[in-house]
Amino acid sequence: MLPTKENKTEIESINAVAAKQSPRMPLSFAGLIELCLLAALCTAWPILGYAQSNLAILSLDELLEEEVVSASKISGKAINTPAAIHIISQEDIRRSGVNSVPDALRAVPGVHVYQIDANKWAISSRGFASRFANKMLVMIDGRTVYSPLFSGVYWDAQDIRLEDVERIEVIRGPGGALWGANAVNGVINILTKDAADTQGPSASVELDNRDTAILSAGYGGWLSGRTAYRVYGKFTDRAGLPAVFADGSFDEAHQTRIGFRTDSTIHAHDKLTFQGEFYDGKSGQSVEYLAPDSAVSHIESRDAPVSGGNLLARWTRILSSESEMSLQVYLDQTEREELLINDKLKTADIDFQYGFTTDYGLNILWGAGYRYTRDETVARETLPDVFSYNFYPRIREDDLYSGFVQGRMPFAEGRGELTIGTKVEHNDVTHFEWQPSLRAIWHFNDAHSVWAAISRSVRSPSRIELDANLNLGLIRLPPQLLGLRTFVRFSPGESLESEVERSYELGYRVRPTDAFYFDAAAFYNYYDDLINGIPDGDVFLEETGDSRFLVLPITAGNGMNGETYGLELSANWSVKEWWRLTGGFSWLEYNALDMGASREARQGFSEGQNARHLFSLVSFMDLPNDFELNASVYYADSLPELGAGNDVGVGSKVRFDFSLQYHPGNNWILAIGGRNVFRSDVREFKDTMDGIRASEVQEMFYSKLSYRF
Amino acid sequence: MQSAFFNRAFILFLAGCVLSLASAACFAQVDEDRVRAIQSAFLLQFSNYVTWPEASFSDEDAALVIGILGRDPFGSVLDNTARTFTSSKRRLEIRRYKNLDDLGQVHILFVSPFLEFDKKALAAAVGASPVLLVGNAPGFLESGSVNFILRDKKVRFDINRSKYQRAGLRVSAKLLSVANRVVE
Repeated sequence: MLPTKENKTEIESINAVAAKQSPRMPLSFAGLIELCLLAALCTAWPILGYAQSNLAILSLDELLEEEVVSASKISGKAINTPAAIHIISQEDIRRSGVNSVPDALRAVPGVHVYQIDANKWAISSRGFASRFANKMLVMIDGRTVYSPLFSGVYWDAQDIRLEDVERIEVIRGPGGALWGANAVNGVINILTKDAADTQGPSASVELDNRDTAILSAGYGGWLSGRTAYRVYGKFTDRAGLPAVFADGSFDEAHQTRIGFRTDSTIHAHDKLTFQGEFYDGKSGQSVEYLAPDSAVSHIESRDAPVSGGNLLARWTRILSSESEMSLQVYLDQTEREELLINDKLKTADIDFQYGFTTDYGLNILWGAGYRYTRDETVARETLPDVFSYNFYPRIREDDLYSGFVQGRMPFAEGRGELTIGTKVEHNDVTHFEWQPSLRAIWHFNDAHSVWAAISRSVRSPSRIELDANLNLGLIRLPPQLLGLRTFVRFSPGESLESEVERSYELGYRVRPTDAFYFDAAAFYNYYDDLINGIPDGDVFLEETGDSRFLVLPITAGNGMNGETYGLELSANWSVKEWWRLTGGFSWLEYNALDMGASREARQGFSEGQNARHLFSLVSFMDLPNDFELNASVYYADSLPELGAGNDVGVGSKVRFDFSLQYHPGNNWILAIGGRNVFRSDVREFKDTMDGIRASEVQEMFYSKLSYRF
Repeated sequence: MQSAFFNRAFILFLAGCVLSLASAACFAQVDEDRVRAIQSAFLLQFSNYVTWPEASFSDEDAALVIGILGRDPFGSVLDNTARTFTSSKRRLEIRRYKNLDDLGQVHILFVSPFLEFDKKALAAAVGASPVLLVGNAPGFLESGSVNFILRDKKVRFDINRSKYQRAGLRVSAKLLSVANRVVE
């Protein structure tokens, strides 16, 4: 069934190296398509639907009563989901004038977005924010972009074409029961438009006063009467930002991206989607470290090559209004040559889902999946030995098997709904993982509802915790002892377990009028077995040539427990037909119980840094004569001070963005706007513990011209 | 200072916006996506209220074809609604035609409002063949049988009886009774 012979397709050649080194590389793209088609031919699928369009089930008379005025910008999904969900629409993205996914996420209540430098961000919700925020799962069209190397997301590599995004769904809190390990504190689901909705030519140019240039172009059409396609390209050149502790900047980044998507409707009930994307670029970065032979710290900067590509196929079939199935396969490759390490990751994933509703209204959704990852690292040899990143084994291959089942049972004539489900996964390191959740929602009436949830989620250990041997000569470390410098020697943990979160959530939503919507969520999370660095024996003296220094040995272990709790409020108010306001406030507390590591090591490696309070207010205004004015203000509390080395802390900050847009006719949009206006030189985040340096976020003024047929 | 200049310009600009707001009229908030979604559902519903001659289907199992002529205003919403539209007697198929030359076997043909077509050419291409011509443009009833309009924030349609009769179609009394206007 599974092909072993070499095919000549492009993807095959990408994977050829992997296939040679690993007899376990079992799936090729062509093979998967074959598998998928074969399954389609051989199997008579039963039926069930959970994503149906409600207009299809209306009668002619009901259809006549449907109004074309949108009463509320709040989708039914946001109201009926028993989880803290927020949906960013394409209109929100366009009107707010953001030019990156991280900036779009700033408007989501309870989501912490900190820009580290021009191409790096720390994004998380409910705690643990760092460049490698390891408890947040991010997916683009069903493809996970979470890196198993550091358990984080390389946001610079996700420079997608925002015009083609349909919506971004953000769920704060655990999503492990459906999405599996690592969806501990939140899930960000980015969905792009159906190719049928991007017909004709489109293009945009954005320029700002700091020499950022973003160009994009796309074209969509019909290949046949049933298959829509689009092809697109995007070029981004992000200007560098000034470094915090030095002159000049190091973080300019550029990236070229091309992609396609086709959507076919076959025999009315089958839908087939193919999509792919390839990108190549460079992301500037800088690292600062101590060397034993020098009194001053060293700084090395580099434009790190970043490239990758992915191909995805998805087949969904609806056989009745009661049942639906989908089969999805994808291949993904990313490659980065960073200052500290080169990393090459290949992923092959296959996922099946099937849902149906019984006569009693019970909806069952189940699925099964398999993911293969192959991660290869190469240490940079230019760095001195005392400052090195080595992963042993250099190549790690993992198989992840997963299955889930979820039942949704309405009761009290649909006023309440109970959702119970679990995901079961098997990975090569911690073996079986269970992630059950129990959720309930109760609608008091059309206006008020309350929901509650209890969940268990896990984060499986990442490669840096399993395989990394690090020598860190960092300036952010504790004071020198006996006049000697201290270096950290980090070694991987043995028999590491997954981090476990138990989460308790309570939510309340009210919509007293069509024009006003208020959403509140409170949570308490308890974490067991958080992975941290545990001192492994005493500090000892080491000599290399003429230099002597102290070494602090640290091993990764499940040495930490912790709790977080907080509150997230958001409101959406249509003040007038031409004016809409959305606002958010969140409060977060964190307590850790650590078995030894210092507070600074904790915050650097396992705890992240989080503002206690966030506040946001976004205004969307329609003006006469085809103008729109959109403005947003964001506030974040100061980040905790580490009090070590020359750490200066990060103060509280206010950020103000605006965008004025003019729409002459249906096809053109001219936008001018500013980001972070009124303030400049704002540090949003600190240097990370591995020495990657932060920059200061500047004010920016931009203009953008876009065309859509 | 560059930023000071920008700040001042920005404040002026904000003030201008507030002034213009004071004179702002109310904006009609028709949700175009919603209009397209409802029109899609109507197109599918028409298949249940119109009778085509048997000869227009090659056999019992042949699909009823809904075609879009010209630039498709519906996008994925028509296909997605059709996928879950289970009340139709026949299998439904959706096809797109760039221009009149591409036209094939079709039962309901939606003529895109974006298409600048020659009325005579359309009449010649469709002729007296059993096709329900649906449009969404002022004056469309001169060429076709059904024309969508907006009335009281709802999607309605006018019907031209002589057009569908010439095409050899029968339209149920139910559909005629809910039409906004029936012309001869």
